[in-house]
Amino acid sequence: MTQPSSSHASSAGHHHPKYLAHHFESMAQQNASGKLGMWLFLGQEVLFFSGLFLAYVLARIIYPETFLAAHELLDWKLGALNTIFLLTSSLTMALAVRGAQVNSKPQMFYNILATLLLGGAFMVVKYIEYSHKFHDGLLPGHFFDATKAMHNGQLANIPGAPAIFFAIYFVMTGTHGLHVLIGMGLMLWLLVRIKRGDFNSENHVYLENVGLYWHIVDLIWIFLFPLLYLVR
Amino acid sequence: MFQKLRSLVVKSSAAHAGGHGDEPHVLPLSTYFAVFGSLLVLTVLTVVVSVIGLPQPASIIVAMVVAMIKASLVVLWFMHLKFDDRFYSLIFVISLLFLVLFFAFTSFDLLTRGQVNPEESTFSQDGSLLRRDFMKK
Repeated sequence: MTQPSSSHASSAGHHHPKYLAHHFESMAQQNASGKLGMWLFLGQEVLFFSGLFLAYVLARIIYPETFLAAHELLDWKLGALNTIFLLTSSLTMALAVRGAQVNSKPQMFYNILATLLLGGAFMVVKYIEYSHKFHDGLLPGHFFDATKAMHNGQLANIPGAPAIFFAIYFVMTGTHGLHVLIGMGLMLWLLVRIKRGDFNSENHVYLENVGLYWHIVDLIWIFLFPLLYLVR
Repeated sequence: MFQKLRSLVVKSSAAHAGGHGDEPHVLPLSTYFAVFGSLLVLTVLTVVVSVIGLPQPASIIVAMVVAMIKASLVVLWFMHLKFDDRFYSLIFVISLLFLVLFFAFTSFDLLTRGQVNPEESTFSQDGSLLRRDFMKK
């Protein structure tokens, strides 16, 4: 493991750690460039999801009674459980980055492992919810069949346009779930690199950027949960 | 070039990090747990407000305000925007600005197109019934 240095701009000329790419002047500049790129990507993510949230808002303006009735078919307890999983995973992610700042390999490793497992728990709950919806015929768009859609063993009677509600539900939670899966893949990669001793207090912008991505995924769920599960 | 841009637009993060140049800003563990605790409390609050069932406009406003407070906690502390280079905050705020533009102008169109052409109106004349044909198959 390379010893982290306490280099500053003044000593950047002679100090050249192996993980400093030759086209950067200092670690500070390299890290700042990496983070700048990540924040630009996160700005893009906000705008990417804004299209889905706007579709939700417009559909809800046009079909208020559909949203009121259809949310009864989503289990808010499972939604709340998933909220707790994601909030806790955000905490462990933040602690992993702190672990890198204080140069602790176990703190990095076990916090990322916890984040990965909590992301997995989120996906398991999501799988239970989805398979329940598939079984009951509560499907998006033209797959929705009002003559077969069941809820608690009874024919689901949703006024307005249930097909549009479930299209929005599946696309929003599906896109979010895909982001969780991608985040979990990134964490596997981080675990390998932490184990290899690639990160220290000076060089951990990869860890920090995956952290920023994971927090944005959490942020989107913070809005999805009340909008989909707690409509009143 | 980036350094130059930085110095033009932002106050250096050094001032926030307590004057230690580019040393990472290490927050005490208690801060993280306090933020996490607040997030859990606010989650309980959202659920409680929904279960009580406030009247329609209040319920969605409370839910969204609570969600925005939660989002701010995550962004400012977990994502370190409060302590990081202000340039990152600028990028994030600009993305939110465009989000507001996107929402506002599309909603204006949906809600007021009837004033330009009654045939295209989302709502019927008396405002009680909605014209929804354009969203049906």
